[in-house]
Amino acid sequence: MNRKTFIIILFLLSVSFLYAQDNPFISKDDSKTDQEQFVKRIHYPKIFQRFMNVIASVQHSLNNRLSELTRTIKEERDAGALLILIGISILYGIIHALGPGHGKTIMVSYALANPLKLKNGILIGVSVAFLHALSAIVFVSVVYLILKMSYFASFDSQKRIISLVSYGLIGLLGVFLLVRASIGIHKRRNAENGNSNHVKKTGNTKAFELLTVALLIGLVPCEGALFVLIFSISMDIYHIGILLVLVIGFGMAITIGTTGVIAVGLRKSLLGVSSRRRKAAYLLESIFEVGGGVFVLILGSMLFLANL
Amino acid sequence: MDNLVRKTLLWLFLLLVATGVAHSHPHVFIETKVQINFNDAGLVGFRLDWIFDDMFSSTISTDYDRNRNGAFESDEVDAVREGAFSNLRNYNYFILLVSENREVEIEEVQDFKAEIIKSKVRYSFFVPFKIEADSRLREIKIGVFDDTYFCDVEYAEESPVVINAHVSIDSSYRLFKDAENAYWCGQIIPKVILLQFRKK
Repeated sequence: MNRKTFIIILFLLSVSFLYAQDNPFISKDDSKTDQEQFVKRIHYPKIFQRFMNVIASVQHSLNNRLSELTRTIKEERDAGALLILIGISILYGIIHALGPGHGKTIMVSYALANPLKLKNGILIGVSVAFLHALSAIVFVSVVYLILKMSYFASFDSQKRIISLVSYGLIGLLGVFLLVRASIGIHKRRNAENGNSNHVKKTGNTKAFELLTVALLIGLVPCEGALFVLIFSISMDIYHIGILLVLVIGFGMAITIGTTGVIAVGLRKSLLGVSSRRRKAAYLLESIFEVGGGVFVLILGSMLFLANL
Repeated sequence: MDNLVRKTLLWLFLLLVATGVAHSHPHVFIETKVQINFNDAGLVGFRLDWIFDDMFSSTISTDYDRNRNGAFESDEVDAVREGAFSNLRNYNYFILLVSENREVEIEEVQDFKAEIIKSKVRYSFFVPFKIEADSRLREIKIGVFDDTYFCDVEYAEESPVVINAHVSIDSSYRLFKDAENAYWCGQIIPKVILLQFRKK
């Protein structure tokens, strides 16, 4: 790992505190700004509405089932109930990951913009989901069991200063990366026109990048998993809570992994069809790459700005 | 596409997810009831009851039921209000209140209660909102939802809305899906109360 990557990882570690800025019971909503109002105007297509409403009520009832069954297990130690609970948890993870969140959009855009191998698409998706769940376990274990603190107590207003600094650094990092990217494009144009010193990196770098991505993504805990864990601690069955969260993570992995597979497959099939006409294929590929990239860029920048 | 550009996209993708913007929602489930109060002058305000899911309930009670007796004493209720409620002022207490085609900002709420009922935490609070009733038909919209979708709010199955009417006032309501106020990037349609009343 080079020094630059290490520094980036450090910045992002501090980000893992920030997820709680999501919680309206704790964090202030700065949405009166123009930028946030603008972000709120991005609308996904209306066809998602009915789907999302169904997902919401299914998740609501699954959530009730989860807590009922957990109580049953605590009181009756019933192995049958445990099996059902595991089944419900997988389902919960699948449904939760299907719910509103930009993750799938980002995943699809990214997979359209990059020629990912199928197995790498699955790798990212599965790693993201599992590590989300795993880091919730780490967080709760450290805060509740070691530090003997608790959820609301650990996010008091002083943390806001840390979060402002972290967001600022991320913003700077984003700018830095964009500047480097444009220098890179410029260099490549020159290389095409004149000398051919430009050498593409392959294989190993890609795998390393993917693993770093997975690790860093995994730093941010899923709040839903947090509350399940805290619930299990309050009932003195933390080990069951850990099992449930891992199983929920597995369910989320199914959804996100499948999204990755679909996106990779979509890219392959759409590009494959036009391979007979080279120019058209290149054009389509460029549209995907630039389109997917631009979409992620715009979405990302606006969301960053909204949070600054 | 240049490898550097691709790498940039990778890092941006990573940053997005790392800051939690890629997270799926919701994480908390709330069941709500609304009680609308009238007196002889007109509308007085409305009381909201929220029951949280078991998981978030235990998160609140672990933090605030300090003597672990399964109930919130008045000092614990004060702590709950301070640490796990007052910030909702910034989100208009999850309330969409529309009167005369204008959204109303809720300045204060009164009589906040927090209780633990069968291990679920229930918040109850009163939103003062006075409108004089006269011969004109008045219409106001009351929606209860979290537009950040951290919480999913649903109306209770039994008596989700109760009107404490007054003999001198004609009042009625209906619950409807308000597509105009679809939130979270236009994906979730909230159920909203349309209240109508006039002096008899």
